[in-house]
Amino acid sequence: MTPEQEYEYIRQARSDPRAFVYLYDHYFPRIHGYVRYRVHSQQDAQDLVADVFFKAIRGLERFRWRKESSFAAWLFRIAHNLIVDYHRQHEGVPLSLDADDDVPQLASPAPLPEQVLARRETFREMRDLIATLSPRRQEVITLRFYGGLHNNEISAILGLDERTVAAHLCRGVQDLQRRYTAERHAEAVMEAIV
Amino acid sequence: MSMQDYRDTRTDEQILLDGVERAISERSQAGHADEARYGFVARVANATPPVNESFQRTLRARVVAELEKDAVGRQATVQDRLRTRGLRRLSLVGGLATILILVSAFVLWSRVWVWEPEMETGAPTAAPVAQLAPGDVDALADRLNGEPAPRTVAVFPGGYAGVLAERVQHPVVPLSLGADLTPAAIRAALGAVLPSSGLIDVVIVNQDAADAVQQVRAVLEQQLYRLYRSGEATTEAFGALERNQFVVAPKEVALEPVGAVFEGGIELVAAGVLDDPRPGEPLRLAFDWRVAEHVGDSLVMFAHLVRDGSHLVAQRDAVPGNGLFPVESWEPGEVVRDQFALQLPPELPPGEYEIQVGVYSATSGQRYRLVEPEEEVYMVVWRFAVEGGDDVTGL
Repeated sequence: MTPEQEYEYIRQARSDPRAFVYLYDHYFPRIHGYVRYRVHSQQDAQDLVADVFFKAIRGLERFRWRKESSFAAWLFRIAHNLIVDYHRQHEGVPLSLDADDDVPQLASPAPLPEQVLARRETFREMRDLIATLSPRRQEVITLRFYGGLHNNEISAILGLDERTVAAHLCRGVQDLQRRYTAERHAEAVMEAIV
Repeated sequence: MSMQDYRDTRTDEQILLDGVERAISERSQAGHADEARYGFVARVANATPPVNESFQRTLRARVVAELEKDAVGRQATVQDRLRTRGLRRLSLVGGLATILILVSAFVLWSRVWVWEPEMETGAPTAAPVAQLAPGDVDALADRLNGEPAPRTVAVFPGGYAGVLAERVQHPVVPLSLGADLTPAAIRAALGAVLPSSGLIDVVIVNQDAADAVQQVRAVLEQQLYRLYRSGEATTEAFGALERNQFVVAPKEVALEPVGAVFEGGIELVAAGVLDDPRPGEPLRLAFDWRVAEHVGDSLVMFAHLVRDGSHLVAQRDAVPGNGLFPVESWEPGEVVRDQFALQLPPELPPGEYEIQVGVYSATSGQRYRLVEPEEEVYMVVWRFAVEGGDDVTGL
C-alpha cells in the first residue's frame, strides 16, 4: 500500500466503512505480530488485537494525518498502550505458555502441514529468546521486526531519541544472537554427552 | 582507484541496521528473508507468529459491522444537530411564519426519516428474529450443522447473521452492505468476509430489497464457484431463507485455450480445471464462452464427469450463472465466464475419467454439434486416470 493509497483509504473510511477493510488487511499481520510477541497467551493476544482495531475505529474521526508514517505510528501507539495496561493488570501473574496455545482453531482433523509446525516452532523459540531481553528492548525489537515500524516511528511511540532506538535495536539483536548461539552450543554438548 | 576506496566505512551498528532493514524488506516482499545472506537477523525476521485465519476473518467481519453501525449513528447525530439548530433559530421568529416553517420542516424531516431505511440495503431495522419463522431457522440450522465438512456461513442481509450464529456450529459472518450496491462495492463487502479457501454457504434472506438481492446473487456467481452435488438442488429454500453452496475461488485462474466451436457460432474459448480430483472433494471448473451472433434459443451448458466413456460420475447442466447469465443475453464477441464446482463422490473407482462439455437447447433437449474440431456433441476438456487406491494420474 502506497502512502497515497493509505491517505485515501483513511479519508474514505470516515464515510465508507469498506475502505477501512483495506487498512485492516494491511495492518492486521503487523499488529498481530507485535501483540503476539508481547502477550504470551494466544487468547489474550487476540482480544488485544481486536481492541486495537475497535479503538482505532472509534478514534478515526479524531485522527489527523501529518506525515506518511503517522497512521502506522498512531495505530501502534494504541497497541502499545493496550499492552502496557495489560502487563500492568497481569503483574505477578505467571505467563501462559501452554504447548497447545498456538494451535489454529481448525475443525478439520487433518494433520497440520510440516511448514506450519516448523513456523510455530521457530516463533516459540524466538519468543522465548526475546522474553529474556529487558522490557524496553523487547518493545523495540518486536515493533521493528514484527510491527514493521521504522526507527523514527518507534521513537515517536516510545518517546525515545531515534539514536537510542537504534542502539537498543543493535544491542537487542546482538544479545539475542549471543543467547541463541549459547543455547545451540549447550544443546550440542548435551547431545554429545548423551 | 585503490582497494581502500572500496572499504566499507559504515560502523558495525550501521551495518547491522542496514541488514535489519533489508531482511525485513525482503520478508515483506518475498515472504521470507534469506538466512544465507542476512544470517541471524533473517532468522529473527522470519520468526513471525502464525496467524489464526479464522480469527482474522471473524475480526474483519466484526470491524466492518462496527463501522457500519458507527456510520448509521453518525448520520443520526448529524440529523439531530441540524434539527436542534433549526428549532433554535426558528424560536427567534414569531407568529404564523414560525408555525408554517415548523410544519414545513417537520414534513420534510419526516419524509427524509421515512425514506432513509430504503436508501440502505433493505437491511432490517427491527429485530430480525421476529420476522423469520423459527421453524425455518431451525431447519436451516439443522441442515448446516449436519454438514461434516467445515465451512463459513455468510448471511445477507447481514442483520440476520446473529439469528443463525446462535444455532449454527460453523462460523457465521454478516454480509453487510452500505447504500452503494455497485458490483465493486458488493465484491469488497464479500471480500471482507470471505475465507481464503474452502466452502462457503451463503444464506440469502428473501424478505425485501429484491434489487439488492439480485445484485448480490450476480456477484456471488462471478466471484465464487457454485457447488453442484449429485442428487441435490444447488439452492435450498427454508421459508424466506435460501441456502446457496459455493467454493471459494483461487486468487488467480489460468485457463487453457480450447477454441471449440459448436453449431450456431457458440465457442468454448478456454477451459480450466482448478483442482486435482480427490474423492469427496469439490472439483472447480471454469469455462470461457463466446457467441458469434445473438442466440435466440434458450441454452443449457453441461459439464459431465464420465468414467470409462459411459458412467456418469458428476454433472452440472444449467444456464450459466445459475440462470442469471442466459446465453440469449450475451453480446456477440463478448467472452462470458461460467464457473462452478462439481462435488466428487466419496469414492472414485479405478478407471479413465474425462470431462465432457457441451450445449443443448433447454426447450427441445437437442444437443448442439461441434463444428470445429470435429462433429461430436461434446468437447473433452480434461482426462485423468484413477488407479487402485484412488491414485490419480493426469492423461
